[in-house]
Amino acid sequence: MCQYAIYLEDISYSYEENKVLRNLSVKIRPGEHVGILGDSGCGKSTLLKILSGLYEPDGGRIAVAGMEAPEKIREQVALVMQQNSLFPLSIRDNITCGHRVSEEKLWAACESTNIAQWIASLPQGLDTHVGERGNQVSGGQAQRIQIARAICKDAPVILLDEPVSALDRDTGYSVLGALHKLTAGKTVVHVTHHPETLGKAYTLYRMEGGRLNRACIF
Amino acid sequence: MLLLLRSPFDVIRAWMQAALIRSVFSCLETESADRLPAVCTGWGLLCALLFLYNGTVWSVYAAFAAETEARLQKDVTDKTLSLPYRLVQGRLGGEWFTRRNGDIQAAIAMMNGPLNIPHLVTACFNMILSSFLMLRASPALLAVTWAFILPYLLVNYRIVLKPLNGLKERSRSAMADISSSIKPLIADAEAILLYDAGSLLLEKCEQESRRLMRTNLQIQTHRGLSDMTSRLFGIGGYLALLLTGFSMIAGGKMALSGLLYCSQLRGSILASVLMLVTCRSNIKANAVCVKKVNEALEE
Repeated sequence: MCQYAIYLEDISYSYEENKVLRNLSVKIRPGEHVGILGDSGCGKSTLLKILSGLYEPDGGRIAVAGMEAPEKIREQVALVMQQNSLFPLSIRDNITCGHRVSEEKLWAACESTNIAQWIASLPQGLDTHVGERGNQVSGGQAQRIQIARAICKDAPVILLDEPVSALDRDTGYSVLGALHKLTAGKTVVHVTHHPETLGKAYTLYRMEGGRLNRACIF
Repeated sequence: MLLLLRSPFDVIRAWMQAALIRSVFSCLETESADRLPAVCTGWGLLCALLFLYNGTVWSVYAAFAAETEARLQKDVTDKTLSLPYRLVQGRLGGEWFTRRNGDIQAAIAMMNGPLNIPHLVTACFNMILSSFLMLRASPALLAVTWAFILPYLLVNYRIVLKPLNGLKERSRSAMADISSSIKPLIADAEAILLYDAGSLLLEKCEQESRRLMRTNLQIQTHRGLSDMTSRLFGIGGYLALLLTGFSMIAGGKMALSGLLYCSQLRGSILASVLMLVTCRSNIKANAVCVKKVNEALEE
């Protein structure tokens, strides 16, 4: 079990009567990139919540980066979500989340996500307030700030939940570029409806009937 | 109309109390104590009727205020939903919550809450009619009473009413900011847990709460100062009334029952002035919220 970055064995999860995951098992090696495809409501996002330690499964065994307790798992993962999850604070606070991060590392994260130039052009720079739910910045900028936040966390496991689906085509491709920098050398689980957003190095699975089946798209 | 029906209550009650005391002391002074049970029973029955009347008017008024609150909430919600999305997005979520809940409740409190418009009307009636009754009993004692009330009103205007608008506006804005800073704790709980950002957001909530607390403390300090001056002028006025009254009794210009009657009426005037001052301060504070409700309806 320890040689895997993610180890799931017979995982089940239900929302009251609705059983979403049924004895799901998967083993992902460190540095492996996994893409999960599936129809809406098939349980992809639920799986990500279990993998990120936000939900506890009803049954089965889980280990992420060797950790089994949800609060320990949460320390090992960085999640980039589909929806905007910016806090009504400054860009700096949104990236560091109140943790001590050096200016060098902070700007490096901004460089990686191509927002450094834009931030430098703002009168208040990193201290610019993003507004409530990030309404003072564009969707692409908001998503890049979230990716910069994930880069700063420097977690060994990266979880991506449709990170570009809410963006237009051009912005989406540009954000994907930032994601490649975030995911280099890390274990990645990328949930999406759009297989074209996944690189060729991805191992693909399709979620059906609460289980993961190997898929081949390319 | 309901307000007008409710407004004579305090003055009638004050007059009944003063008249009862005068009748009782008059009976004692004229050594006709056998009339006391009849006097007390008569006034007791009148008092019961007065409270029945007041309760009936008040309950009808309360139902009217509840209906108005429901109607206002619906109107503000409808109006908010019909606004352009850009305008809704342009303001803090907490501002909308505060408008929908706090501001409307403040508007209703102004209409039906304790020490707001209804009591203001009652206090005005009470003050004017009690002064008139006292004027008929003793113009000199009325002059002594008002000689202490007028400076108090002036001081109160300076230390409470004048700065209250700005302070209430700041308090309301801090309340809206608190609602907005609490929202991500619920809406973005996933990101907070994953990035361990709880302390950062709680710190922000704490800052806003402290800002609200500081502003509310300032409001209460001003009210406390007003309360202190009311005690000083109240006690001073009472002593002056007693000294003047006793000198009039000594000069044979007034009986003890007359002084007690005037003392009761002075109490009624003073109570109505204090009520008036508190009502004005509450109304002024609530008016800030009513202005926001009106803005919401006119947007």
